[in-house]
Amino acid sequence: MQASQNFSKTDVQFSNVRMHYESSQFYRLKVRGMALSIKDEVARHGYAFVQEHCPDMDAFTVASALGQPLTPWEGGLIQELVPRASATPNTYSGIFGLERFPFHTDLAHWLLPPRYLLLRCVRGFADVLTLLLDGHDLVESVTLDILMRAIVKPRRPRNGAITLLRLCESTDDGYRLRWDEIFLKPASKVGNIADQRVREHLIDSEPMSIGLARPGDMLLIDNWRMLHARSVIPAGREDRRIERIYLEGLH
Amino acid sequence: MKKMVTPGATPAFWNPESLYNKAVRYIQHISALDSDDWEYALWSSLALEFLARAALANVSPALL
Repeated sequence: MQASQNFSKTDVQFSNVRMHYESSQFYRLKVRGMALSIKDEVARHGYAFVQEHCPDMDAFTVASALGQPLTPWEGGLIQELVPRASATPNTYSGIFGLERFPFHTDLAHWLLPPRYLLLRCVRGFADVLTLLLDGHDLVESVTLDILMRAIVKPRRPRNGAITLLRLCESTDDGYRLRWDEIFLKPASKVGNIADQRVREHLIDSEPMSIGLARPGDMLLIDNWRMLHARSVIPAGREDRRIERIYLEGLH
Repeated sequence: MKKMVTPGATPAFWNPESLYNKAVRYIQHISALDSDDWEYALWSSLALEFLARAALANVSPALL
């Protein structure tokens, strides 16, 4: 119930937008104007959900109109997310398979995780949900003081070194939150306290639910603010396909 | 002929934020110790070292 209230604000603004422009240049100019609204929406709520946003355009064009796409690893500009019952153990699919994924921010074990995360539906289902939790509520519950002093470390070394990280760091326009109960481990006393309190908050909180159901449905998430998760994949939904692109900034 | 060298990414262990985090970690470790404990002096000195290294790295890793 809460979920429908939350994303209905954006639905009202964007749900009926169906653009089928023949000219790519014209398309870009139009989307630039829309991108401003999306940017405002993300700044205000931490995410923006747009239904059937240019389903005929390729993901890179859509992402480029919104911001600056980044390539986190070679060949990783556009990642296709498909539910898998088994995969390599260093991935969520390898650990949880088709079960529900826990709340996390993407690439939380990186020194500088990507700022924005774009999920775009290729083949979706209304009963497979993307869950969102606002980091502002987490900060309010756990307190900024504890999160800022919570030292954590990646589960495994990266490039031969274990880099100490903090769950929350100050930035020019606020703070950068990171959380991943699998790939981040507490590395200090305050880290242990924060880990415990964040887990308690996640159990008690009511997440927002968004269904990427139709081709072109697009969810843009502020990865420095919002925690996200995936619901369980019911039987018969294994052919769900979502494209993911990371963005370092919005236009 | 002058040869231009393109710098690579700074290694994570010279990152000022990482060095600062290490100092914070040691300071949190100290908080559980008695100030007369020999470990207190050891961890204090290590924390101070990393704090100084973080300040230098914040200007340039070349200063390390």
